[in-house]
Amino acid sequence: MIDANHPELELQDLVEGLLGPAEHATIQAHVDGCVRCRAELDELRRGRELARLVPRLTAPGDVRRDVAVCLQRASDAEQQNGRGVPRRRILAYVLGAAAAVAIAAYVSRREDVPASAIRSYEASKAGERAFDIVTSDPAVLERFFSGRVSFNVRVFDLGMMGYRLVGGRVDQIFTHPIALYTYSGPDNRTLTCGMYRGDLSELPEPNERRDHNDITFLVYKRGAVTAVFWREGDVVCVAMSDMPTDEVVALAFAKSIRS
Amino acid sequence: MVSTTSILRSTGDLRGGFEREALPHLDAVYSFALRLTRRREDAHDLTQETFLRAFERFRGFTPGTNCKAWLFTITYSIFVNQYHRDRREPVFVGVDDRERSVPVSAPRERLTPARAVAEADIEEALAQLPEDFRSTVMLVDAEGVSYEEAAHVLSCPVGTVRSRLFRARKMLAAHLRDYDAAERRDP
Repeated sequence: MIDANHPELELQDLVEGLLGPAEHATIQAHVDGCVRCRAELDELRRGRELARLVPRLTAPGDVRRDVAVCLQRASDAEQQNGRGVPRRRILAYVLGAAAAVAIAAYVSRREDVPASAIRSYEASKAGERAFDIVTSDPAVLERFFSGRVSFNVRVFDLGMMGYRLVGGRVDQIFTHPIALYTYSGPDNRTLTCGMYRGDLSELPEPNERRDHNDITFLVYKRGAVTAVFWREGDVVCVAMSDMPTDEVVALAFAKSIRS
Repeated sequence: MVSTTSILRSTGDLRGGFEREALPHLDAVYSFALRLTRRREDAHDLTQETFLRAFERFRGFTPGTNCKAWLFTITYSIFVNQYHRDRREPVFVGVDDRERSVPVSAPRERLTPARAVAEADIEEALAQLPEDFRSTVMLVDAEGVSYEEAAHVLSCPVGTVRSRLFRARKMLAAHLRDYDAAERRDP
């Protein structure tokens, strides 16, 4: 509704483009002839522009850790009790002794990153998780990731090894957004690589620890799947495949860059 | 046809579904919590409590709907019921927080000095807004939720969201008028 003299909320709808043609014409005609409403409109546009610059903050590591711990506990309780999360028990976990929680947090989180990564790999291989983008061009995939994660993603060209890029997606391993991309190789084997902002100290004790070119590689074996983690700056890289462990490790050696 | 909800219920893949749907919004929830409480410790607790309650209620979440808005509804409900009533003296988001924070859409290292200064000023101007206005601006302008979703989160009519947004944007513009003038003088 237009105020007896000057529109107010209609000006905001004009800024948002929410007015129908007839109302738009009416309000615009008023604005064109009204100095006060033109100034008001300018101010609203400026305010909207400024409000949209409000930055998104990144949750600090301790928040991520504590959320992860609570979910782990709640999930455990869920499994033990069939369904329904016992509220008092969860709160007791949250409010428990700080030292015990800190230790549990550290251990729990360390246990979950490789497991979560391998779950993503298996979902890709089984076709249970769709790609955000299907492409065989590494450059296209790098451009895709550049607008979606806050670090540079290197997508390897593994054509010489007989591995063809299939596609990629932004996924989540535990609390970390991860850029994941998958290759299809000989003998129906699948290779998935990923990068996320994090640190190797979050990971549990590996099955093997290898060093190459001053880089430490943590090797995890879960059934037929091998996952190799290494660090490049503040980004952790991972290569996961059902190819023989030594081949996955050799690939990680070949593609790693010393930071 | 078997719905995704029933698959979740029948397979017990509650945790995996929650990780895929809800956890990607951790930064958004923390940002919202910090702007609501203006206190790091409270934002930490509020974020944690939000995800706990969300996990409890996840069986009732409808796949395909806006999970981020659903989480904000939980965050705001906890805030109003637990933090709002006995809120202590506010602590504004300080320089340290801004330096540690990384905007998701524009990594900090890519910001120009002018943009970084603008963000600091905007943060302060945002903190000056009344809480109702601040939460509305956060939801609609910073997080991009619709008027209808914001109204649901804030438990108010859509008209109230429009009205608060109108006032909040005008207040923000007024707060930052001096900054605009200074920038024009010394771009």
